[in-house]
Amino acid sequence: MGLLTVLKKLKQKEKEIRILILGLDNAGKTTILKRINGEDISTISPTLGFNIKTLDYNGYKLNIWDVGGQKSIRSYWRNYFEQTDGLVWVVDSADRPDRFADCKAELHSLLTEERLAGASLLIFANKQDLPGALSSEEIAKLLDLKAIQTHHWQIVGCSAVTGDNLLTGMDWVVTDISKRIYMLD
Amino acid sequence: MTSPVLREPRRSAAGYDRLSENVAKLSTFVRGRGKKTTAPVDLMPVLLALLKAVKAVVRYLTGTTELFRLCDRVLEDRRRGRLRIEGVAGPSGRSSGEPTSRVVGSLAPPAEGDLVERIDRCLAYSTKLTSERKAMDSGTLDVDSVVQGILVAKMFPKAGDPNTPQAKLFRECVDRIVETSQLINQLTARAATKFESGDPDHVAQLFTLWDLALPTQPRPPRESELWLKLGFQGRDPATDFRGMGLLGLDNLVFFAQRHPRSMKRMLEISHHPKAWFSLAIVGINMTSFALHQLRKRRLYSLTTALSLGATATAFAEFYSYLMDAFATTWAAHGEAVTVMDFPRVFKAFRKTVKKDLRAGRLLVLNTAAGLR
Repeated sequence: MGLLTVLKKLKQKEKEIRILILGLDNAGKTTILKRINGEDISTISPTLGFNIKTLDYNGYKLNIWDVGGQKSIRSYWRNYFEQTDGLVWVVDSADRPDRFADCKAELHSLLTEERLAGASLLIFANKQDLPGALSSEEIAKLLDLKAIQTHHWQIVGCSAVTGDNLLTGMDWVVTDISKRIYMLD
Repeated sequence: MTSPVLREPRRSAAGYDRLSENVAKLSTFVRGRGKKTTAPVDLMPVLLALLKAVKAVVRYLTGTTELFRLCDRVLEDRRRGRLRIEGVAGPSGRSSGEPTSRVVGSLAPPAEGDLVERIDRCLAYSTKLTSERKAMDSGTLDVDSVVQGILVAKMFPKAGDPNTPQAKLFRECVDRIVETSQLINQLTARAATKFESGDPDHVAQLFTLWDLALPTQPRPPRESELWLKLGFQGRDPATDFRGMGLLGLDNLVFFAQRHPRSMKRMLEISHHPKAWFSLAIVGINMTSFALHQLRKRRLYSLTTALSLGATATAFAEFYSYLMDAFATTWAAHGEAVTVMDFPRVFKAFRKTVKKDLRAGRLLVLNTAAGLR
């Protein structure tokens, strides 16, 4: 292996970004991941455990972790915090009203995690294609996003089914991360 | 060095919106930005062309077609007594479910299922029979006339006389293929049927599942934390049936109904304090996997061997086998696994099942339907 190869390898390593997708069960995390990755999304079963995908995006290598959202496995979320550059929090905008309190509590408790400090936070207000879906402004209010001082955050209304605004969101989070960690390049 | 993101002018938001409107375009867009999955040369067409050339030569030299030779060879083997379905382990009557998955029987030499599979592949690769193949996939066709057309085109003896042994065997195989297509369409439609909380039939079926799986415990309300006991994700099981629709529920009910002891055993395993898993969610993932195998037409050896044929019941028996075998696999890991290991364990399990299917193993619980 020549010196150039070694340098190149190091360089490639540097350009890796680790993204963690979390949210309550049935929020659409896996659908978003598969849609971004260009896979079929017609038959997605609930995630028991996690999915991981690596994809190239604007010259970055994204390692995206999508962990199941059912209550009983949320205690495992913390096993995936290490080295996370970006957190994507997915919300079912057409969810039953009583679940938004749960959603808010889980999100805010994540933000107190030391290992997630500094991670850019993207909130996907998913399922905008469904009738009765709340707008991203309404979701922002319900989740009290204004109170977040610790993280760079952005909320984007999207639909994993139609693909609307997924790229807008991903672009924001990748740009925000790259500004922060690759500024010296 | 500046990163590409910073150097590139920001694309306008309007541009993105326009793109994301078109779902198909979106995926190519993302792929186009990365360097994913671009093999230098696609070898498939080259190989297919080679195969076709070889076939043409053989056809020219022998005056027979591959379809005919496939059928003829099986008949020849039968005459010599080489092809016989041999002992499937365990009794094959229908007694109440014995929870064991060590009962994988095997069909000694690849039998009729293998022939159907090869004929199916042969038809799929033929460029001259695309319309016939499409008709078979849709499951709505005049089998007689389609088969007759193929018999003539593929030079079966006596100018495609449907009464020669080879022609009859071919017809049987086509029937299996059509039967399977119909089943695929039927089950795909069921999987696409959403669980509607407002539909009394759907709700009744959900409660039936509870009664069968936990007969000693009173029914919970429609929405309740109690559903977690069956391995649903939350208070409302309805949301978990996305993806596999009512087929997921059908399969779970069938498993609990026909193989109650196996279901009970699996539930117990799933409630392990450390190595627990969510049974219903595993079930829905299993439906998805089983349906995929059917769609890929890997179940011919199963459906040709069972007297049930390619029916929803045969499919559900296959599903029941998978559930039982998965429970065994999971339990064998003891406390070395947690629910987060499910993806890894399930992946290895799927690999084993596919291998068994390729080997022509009969993947049903021994109490399942008998052989043809």
